Amino acid sequence: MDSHSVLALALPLGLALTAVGSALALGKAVAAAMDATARQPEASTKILVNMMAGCALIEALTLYSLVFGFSLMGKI
Amino acid sequence: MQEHEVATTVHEAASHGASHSEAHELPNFITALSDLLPNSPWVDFLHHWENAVFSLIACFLIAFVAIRAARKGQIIPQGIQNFCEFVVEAVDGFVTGILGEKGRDHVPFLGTVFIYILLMNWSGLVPFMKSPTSSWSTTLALALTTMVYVQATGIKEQGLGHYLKHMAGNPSNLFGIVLIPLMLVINLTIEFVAVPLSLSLRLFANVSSEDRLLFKFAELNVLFKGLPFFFQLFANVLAIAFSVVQAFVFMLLSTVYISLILPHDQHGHEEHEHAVAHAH
Repeated sequence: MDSHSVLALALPLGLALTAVGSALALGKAVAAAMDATARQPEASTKILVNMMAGCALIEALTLYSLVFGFSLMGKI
Repeated sequence: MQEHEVATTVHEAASHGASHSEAHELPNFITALSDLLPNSPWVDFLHHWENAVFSLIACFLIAFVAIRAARKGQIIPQGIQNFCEFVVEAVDGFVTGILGEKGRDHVPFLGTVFIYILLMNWSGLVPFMKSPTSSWSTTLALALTTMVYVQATGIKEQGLGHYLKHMAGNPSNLFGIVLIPLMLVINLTIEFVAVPLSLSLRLFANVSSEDRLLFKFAELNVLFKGLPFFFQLFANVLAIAFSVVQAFVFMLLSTVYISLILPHDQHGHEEHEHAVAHAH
């Protein structure tokens, strides 16, 4: 197994693993936001804004690994 | 007919890109120009600096709209003035909601960053335009500007002594003094390395992956004779929404960094603020 095939295996796997982590975290965040909105519908705009900010932060983790994937893709 | 033209342009861009480096984005008018005039030094110059060209276009657009809107200062705003006042009031309300009334000084910077990034993100969706934010150099410049602004605000509002004390982790007893080197290293790393890296990489990764997605779908449309057209439409809608979200997140995080570095005693509940600052 040379370095090219290791990279070709590891890049999609790593991206998939970070996507799993991000998906779990996003699920938690959105579920909590839905809960809060159901309890307090009048604060829904504020909760939505905060949720969006948090979701963007969580998603960024997947995108970091996507950047690494793209930057290492040239070595395959 | 038009579809065919777009198809040939995409193919040309792909083959042209393959000869130099791999193409990741839809062709813009500068790549088209460099295809037409391969040996002109001016086009080479433009092609080399294409991100700067497109961010300058965004700058000029903002300046033009702002001057147009401010020329007729009416009490009851109409048309373009009305729209600009709506945007400014929205940004102002958001920033003062986080920073308090004193935060109004920072509205010009934060609002400019928001509108500028939003326009640069959206310009990738306009035919023959490119998002300058899809390259790391542009977003790194924005993030470094934000970092310098935040640190300068910290020095100005706290005073140099308090700023340095904040950087050294607010030592109050012997244990705190022993820990100064550690806290200094941690704080300097967070403020001067982690903040600009995370700000710039987040924006860059989002916008460049949006553009790659649009490019890939355009390629598929060419390969399968327009069959995946609705995927393309979906990707476009997604790109419009996420451009807004990313510009908003950049502004939100800049606001949060400013609020963390402002002096804490004006809020009254000092302990809580310190806890938040250190947890961060």
